Amino acid sequence: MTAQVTPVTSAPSASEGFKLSVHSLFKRSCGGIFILSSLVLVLGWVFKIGFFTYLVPGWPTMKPITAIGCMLLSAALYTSISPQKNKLSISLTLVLIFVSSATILDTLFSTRILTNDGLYSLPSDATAICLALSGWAVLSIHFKRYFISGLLAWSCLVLIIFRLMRLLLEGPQASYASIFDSMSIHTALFLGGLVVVGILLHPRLNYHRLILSPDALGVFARWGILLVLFLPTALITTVLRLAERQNANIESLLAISITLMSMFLVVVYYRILNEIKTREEAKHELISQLQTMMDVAPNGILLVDNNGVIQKTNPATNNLFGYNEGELLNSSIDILVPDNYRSVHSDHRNAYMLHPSEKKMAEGRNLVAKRKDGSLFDVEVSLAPMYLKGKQYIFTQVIDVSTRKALELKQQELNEQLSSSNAELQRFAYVASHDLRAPLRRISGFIQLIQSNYEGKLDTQADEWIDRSVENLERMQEMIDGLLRLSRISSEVEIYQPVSLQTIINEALELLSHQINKTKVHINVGLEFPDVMADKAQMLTLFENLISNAIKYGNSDAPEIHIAIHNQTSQKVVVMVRDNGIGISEQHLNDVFDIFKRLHSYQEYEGNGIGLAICKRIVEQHQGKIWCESTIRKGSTFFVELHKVQ
Amino acid sequence: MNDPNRPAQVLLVEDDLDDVTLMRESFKINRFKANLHHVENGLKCLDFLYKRNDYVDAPTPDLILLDLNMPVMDGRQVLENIEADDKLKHLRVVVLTTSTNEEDVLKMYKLRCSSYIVKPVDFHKFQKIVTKLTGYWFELVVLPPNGQ
Repeated sequence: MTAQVTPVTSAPSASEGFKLSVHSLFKRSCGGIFILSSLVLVLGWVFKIGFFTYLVPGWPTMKPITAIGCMLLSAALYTSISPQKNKLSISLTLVLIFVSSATILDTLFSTRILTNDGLYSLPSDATAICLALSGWAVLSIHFKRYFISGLLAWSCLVLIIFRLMRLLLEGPQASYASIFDSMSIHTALFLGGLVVVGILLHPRLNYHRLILSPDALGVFARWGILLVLFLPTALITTVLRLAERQNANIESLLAISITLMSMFLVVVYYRILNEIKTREEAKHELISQLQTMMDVAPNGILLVDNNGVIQKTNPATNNLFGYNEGELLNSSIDILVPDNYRSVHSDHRNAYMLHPSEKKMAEGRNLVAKRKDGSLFDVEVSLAPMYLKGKQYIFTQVIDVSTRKALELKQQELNEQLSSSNAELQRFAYVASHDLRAPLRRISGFIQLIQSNYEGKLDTQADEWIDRSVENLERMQEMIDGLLRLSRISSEVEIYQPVSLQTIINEALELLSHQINKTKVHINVGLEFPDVMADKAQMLTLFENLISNAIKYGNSDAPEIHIAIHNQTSQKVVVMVRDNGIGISEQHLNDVFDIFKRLHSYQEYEGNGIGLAICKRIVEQHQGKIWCESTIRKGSTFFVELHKVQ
Repeated sequence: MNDPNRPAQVLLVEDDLDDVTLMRESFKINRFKANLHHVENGLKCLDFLYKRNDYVDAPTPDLILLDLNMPVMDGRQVLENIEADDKLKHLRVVVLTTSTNEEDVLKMYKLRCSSYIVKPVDFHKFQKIVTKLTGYWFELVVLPPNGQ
């Protein structure tokens, strides 16, 4: 049996073909032969044609009831394979069950339900039982009880094989001893053939695929079937021979118990097979999942043995390195390494093989790999040791990082460009504001000369225009000064020292004392401001600007300013400066920090629109944050987040 | 004190003619009677001081008002020259510039300039500076005799 198994890799499709060919073989010939021959037998009996009542000339005749049973079984099986004839098959099966059951009843209780002493004489006990088992087996198929059906069919087959073994040992004239060897040889062959075909026809109960499969399940099934089928049969035959038919009752008892044992073994066998099958399927599923993963993985995956020889590659590896499928197999991993790095690489590899561990290479250095055409590309490689059948392998993953590297380089370039253009912009702002001062100073000088020398000597219109020019020049001067101050903040070197916010705020208030006294603003300063890492002069400018703004845009009737810690963590502190003044509408909350952004006319509130831009620049320079919350006509609060001294 | 009959000799080293005019006008407004001499770069300034080329008849200035950024020869080089020459190093040089560069300030003092003044943008303020400047150099301090 094992000899027939061919070690083909595509086992499923081979057995598929086998099943299909049995199918059509039965449909076209076997089925017909079985039906025809049993029909001939039945007709032989009906019309008393002696010749047709023999299955094999020279052998005893087949009893008519047996012939009818065989005909019904073959027809039921034949129709059971096509779904359209389901009902016909069920009907035939039911008739078969009726005939066999009636026969068994007649045998057991000597009734005459179906049989008589004439034409329809009693068939042998074993034949009746086999017919009944087959009938129930076919019925079970229709009700999708495949396990029961298989059990019934295989039991039937065991009985028949047992009978055939006995006939084989004692010759065709083996005499009647118990119900289990009462079946005649032709009935046994005919029925046996039918049952085998039936089992092959219904894949759910045929185990031949299982037995033929090359995997672990097949191996177990092939060896197990010897134990399950042939051991009990051989055992019972031997026992019967030893007993020399001295006591038929004891023989029958033995035969029944051994048959039961055999059926029990079949059940156990089936369960074990099922379990193995489940596990095999799970394994296959896992393998196919892993295979798919290997196939679709975007990274190169290689299995390398401990001599550095490539044992397995995935498609991505071949694509990455420009090799054809299978071309890399059995070559050294070193061919993927640039020539000048090869000797170092093989040293590294040997060292790694002594102490293999899961490892990511290329951390902190650039790894380069070589394609088949000799071109090089950046890679990242990770390694993991693997033990297969006691041999050590290295599971290697290769990621092409050349695109990423190129992007990183590009990003670095862009960053450099950006910072250089930023520096240029700052330099520009400085130079522009600086160089604009000279002509402005001259214009302003001449205008003021005209103002002082010619006031009242021209008409009043001229005097007014001169005054306006002077005013505008003053504003322009302020703006340019502001721009110059702003650009200086960015160009100053950042060396920060611990600065006491408390001191800074007090100094800022001191600087603004004139403004404070003039507006009679009430200023409420919180306590215990922490020290921050900052540039002292810039901090002073920051708070001077914020407080001065709060005074300028404050409440005209009862101005109040509140300076306090909004919240703080161990690292940062948020200071707030709150006024009860005119407030800022929501749409302008972010604009207030823009340079030269003014929300009010110059006539309403003087200013150059640069104070908050300077604040923002200072805070950003300190890696802090500045933002503002406000309700119109209720007041504004400015928040500044700074880094505390650690 | 200084000879009241001898008009003050002031040398303005300045490349921009507008600035020269404005300086003249502020002298006028201040009623400061002085001979304001003007040269437009450092090289001509040295010619003036050494009384050579076009400036053979030039007087020794009581005060030099020196701009820093000029073409041909800038104020820094002029100051280096004056500092290095024993015959010139007693001259009073006031640096008058728009540069607020801290390095410049330090460097000019190291070259022993007498004062460093940043020109304000506002003309009124400039005028006040001129008032203070002339008051200091021509009324307060004593200068070496005989126009040296």
